[in-house]
Amino acid sequence: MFLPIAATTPGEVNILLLLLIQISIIIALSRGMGLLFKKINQPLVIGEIVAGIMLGPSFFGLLAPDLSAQLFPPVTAPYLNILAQMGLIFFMFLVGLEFNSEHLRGKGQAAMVVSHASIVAPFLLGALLALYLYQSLSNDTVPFISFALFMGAAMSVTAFPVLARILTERNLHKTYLGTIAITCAAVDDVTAWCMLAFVISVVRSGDMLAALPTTLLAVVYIAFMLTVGRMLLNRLADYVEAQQNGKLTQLMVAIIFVGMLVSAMITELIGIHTVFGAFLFGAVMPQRSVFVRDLAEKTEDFTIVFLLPIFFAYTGLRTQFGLLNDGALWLDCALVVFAATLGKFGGSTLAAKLSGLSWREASALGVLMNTRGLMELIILNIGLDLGVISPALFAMMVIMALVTTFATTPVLNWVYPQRLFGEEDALPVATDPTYAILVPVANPDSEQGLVHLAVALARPEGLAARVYPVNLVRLGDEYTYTDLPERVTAMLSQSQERLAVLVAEVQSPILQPISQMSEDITTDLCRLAKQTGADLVLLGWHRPGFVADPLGGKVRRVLETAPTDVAVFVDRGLNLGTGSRLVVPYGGTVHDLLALELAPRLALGHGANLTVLQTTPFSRETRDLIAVFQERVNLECIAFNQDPVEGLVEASRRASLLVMGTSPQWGTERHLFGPTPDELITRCQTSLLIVRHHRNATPHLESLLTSTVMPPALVSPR
Amino acid sequence: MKFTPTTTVLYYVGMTGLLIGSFTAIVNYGTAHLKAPQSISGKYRLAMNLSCLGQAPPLLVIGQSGSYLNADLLASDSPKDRLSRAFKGNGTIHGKIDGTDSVNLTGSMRCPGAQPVTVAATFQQGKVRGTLAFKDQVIPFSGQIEPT
Repeated sequence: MFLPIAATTPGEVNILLLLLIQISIIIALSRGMGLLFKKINQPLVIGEIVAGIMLGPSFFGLLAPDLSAQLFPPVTAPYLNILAQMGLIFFMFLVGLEFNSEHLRGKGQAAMVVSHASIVAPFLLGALLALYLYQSLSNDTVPFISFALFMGAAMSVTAFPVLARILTERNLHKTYLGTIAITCAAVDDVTAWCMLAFVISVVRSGDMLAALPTTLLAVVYIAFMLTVGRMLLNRLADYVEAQQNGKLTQLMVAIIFVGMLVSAMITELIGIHTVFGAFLFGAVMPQRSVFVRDLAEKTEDFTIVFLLPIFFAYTGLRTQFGLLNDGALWLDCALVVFAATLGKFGGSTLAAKLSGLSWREASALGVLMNTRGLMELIILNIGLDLGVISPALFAMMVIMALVTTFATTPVLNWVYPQRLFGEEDALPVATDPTYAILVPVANPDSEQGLVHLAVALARPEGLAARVYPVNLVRLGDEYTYTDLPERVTAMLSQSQERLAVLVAEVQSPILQPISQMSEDITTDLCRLAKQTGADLVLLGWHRPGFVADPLGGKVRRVLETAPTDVAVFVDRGLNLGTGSRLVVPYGGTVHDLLALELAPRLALGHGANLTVLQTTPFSRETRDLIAVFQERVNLECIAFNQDPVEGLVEASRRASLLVMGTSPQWGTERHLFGPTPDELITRCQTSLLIVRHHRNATPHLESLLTSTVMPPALVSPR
Repeated sequence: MKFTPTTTVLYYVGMTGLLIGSFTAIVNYGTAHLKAPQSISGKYRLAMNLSCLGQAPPLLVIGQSGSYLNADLLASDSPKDRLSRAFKGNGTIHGKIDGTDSVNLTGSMRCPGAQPVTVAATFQQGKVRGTLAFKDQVIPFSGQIEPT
């Protein structure tokens, strides 16, 4: 198969067209793989790196060499390289921008000691490994000192963005362990880039002594940026804050970008690579919330979505696993992975243990520090460009970066399982409430009605019940500025304030609000339902944007995966009180029976009337249940033989609330034929409560019935 | 262990001493005792006649990762991707270079179908000299590296 773009005329290639095709493939595959890896609880970045490798000679080039040669011919490599380098410059600027020196202040000596040990140990192990690898994987153009320095630096790096993300995802960032990990990663970040700048100067000049002028110039430039540079940028921030409340105009963004590029140029001219200049410029930016957030948000989308995948693809195109075609080379590769892990994990764990952490916490810190991610790839690419590492060693180190980053999440889960930290302790779960309802709130327009309904459902239990309004703060994609631990903390505070206002408005003592960050709303809701022992998850209803099923999207996923009963509330101004009329259609399913259990709870608490529209005869237990409540609420049962949807629409005209199970019969469950949920929800004039039973859930009247004399059949689970 | 200002200073002095001392020892040992193989990576135009590789002098393309070599013996008018194949680790001839200048490579070359081949050569300052064992004949050759 030959593509026309490869040769429009003999000997010519339409470079622009080819680049557009390449970049489209790179971005699509990168995002696709990233999302795939997120599904298996891996950082997005791993998927993106793997996507890059897949496009290179190790996979695509091996499977389809001709097509690969046409799509990624050597002639386009320089253009991809330039785009990749620009991506790195902007990404390192973002890393610098997100570097907050507050991470280093007041965190105690333990954190500093651990962080320095976590650099020294892998550095020395890397240098030791250089003794073994130099003769087999280097050549005589590379002095041993350059090789040893580079191996040491490459082993010492930690991926701050990946680590920060893992911590925030697990609510670990505010714990002592999380604070130490963030401090260590921040120290490692700065140290690694300074060390790399020094290594580059030594590699370029050949020995330590010849690198002295470069090192001195670098120190002078760092000092200049920390003083004059910071002062000038502070003035710029003052001006922006005075003129536009901290919001950046395009002119200001242009000025900052030019400053960053000049800084990158200066460090390149000094002899310590562009990435250091970009990082330094970002790091000396004034840490003012609006200014920095605005700048980060303006920079990160294009950098992370467009430029970084090109860097990963460029790295992948240079990664040649085919070079590891010898058993001895694979043994060397295993040794590289082992030494990297031993140095970083072992050094951090030991230092953390010495500084007073338990073995479990110390190991968790070691696992986190062993995450290398794309920071390692940046260093490796520089090493390969400088010729200080050979292509085979580059491939081994890429494998090491992948293995150490890939292993972080599962090993952390094993060493420090989620049940051992944070969330359970942080949850204000009441001790054994008689009845509990979890109410996810996200929409200010509907949250009050939803919480009022939850309180109404719990009312028969009195103060022994609990209603948990829960607001989950959604984490964005990886590397976003808003996902930094301090930003997440700020967002959580906003969420807590919002829930406090809601609780004050509803005014019920049984409310216990929960604010948490979440990467996957559905999964976290199900987890919270389990943790709180919720008898019911009460969801608000909004028409989903992109799916035809009105109970689709997240609602559908909660309905199908929650470990307890779920109710979806379509609020059309429900106001329960004496004389309100609740209607329950009953067709004999377990979901209809759940509706029949929930409706009396509402009727009992408010003195409302209850009408059951019956299409099938009641079972003996249901009949007994009806009999019990007929004594306590105004309850009537009516035979219902009409067309289900037409009949329900008609019944809803005289009802305050329709409580119904999910069922194809009522059109509240997806079905190939028959009425659709859309039809019912659209045509019903009143509020709706659509309920779905979970097979392991406790019957909702159990706590009420056990206080009275009831037939045992009624209180046993369905 | 609780870190007081004194223990912290001691810790840093010890760690710095360990770092500088160990690294100096490693570098001194490596520089004095270890010798990496010479860099021979590149394209060598060979002065030899092999009809199946065309009229023009053929190319010996050598990709190198330390002592591990990956090579191709090709006609000089071969497609670009084939000429760069050995640099990507996908060459058809493999071998190692040790501390000396001598190299032994074995593998196959297209002449016209895949034929087993052995190359014994010596590399010095961009020049190569050696023999090619191929189809029961030993063909001497010499060549020079092409500027990149």
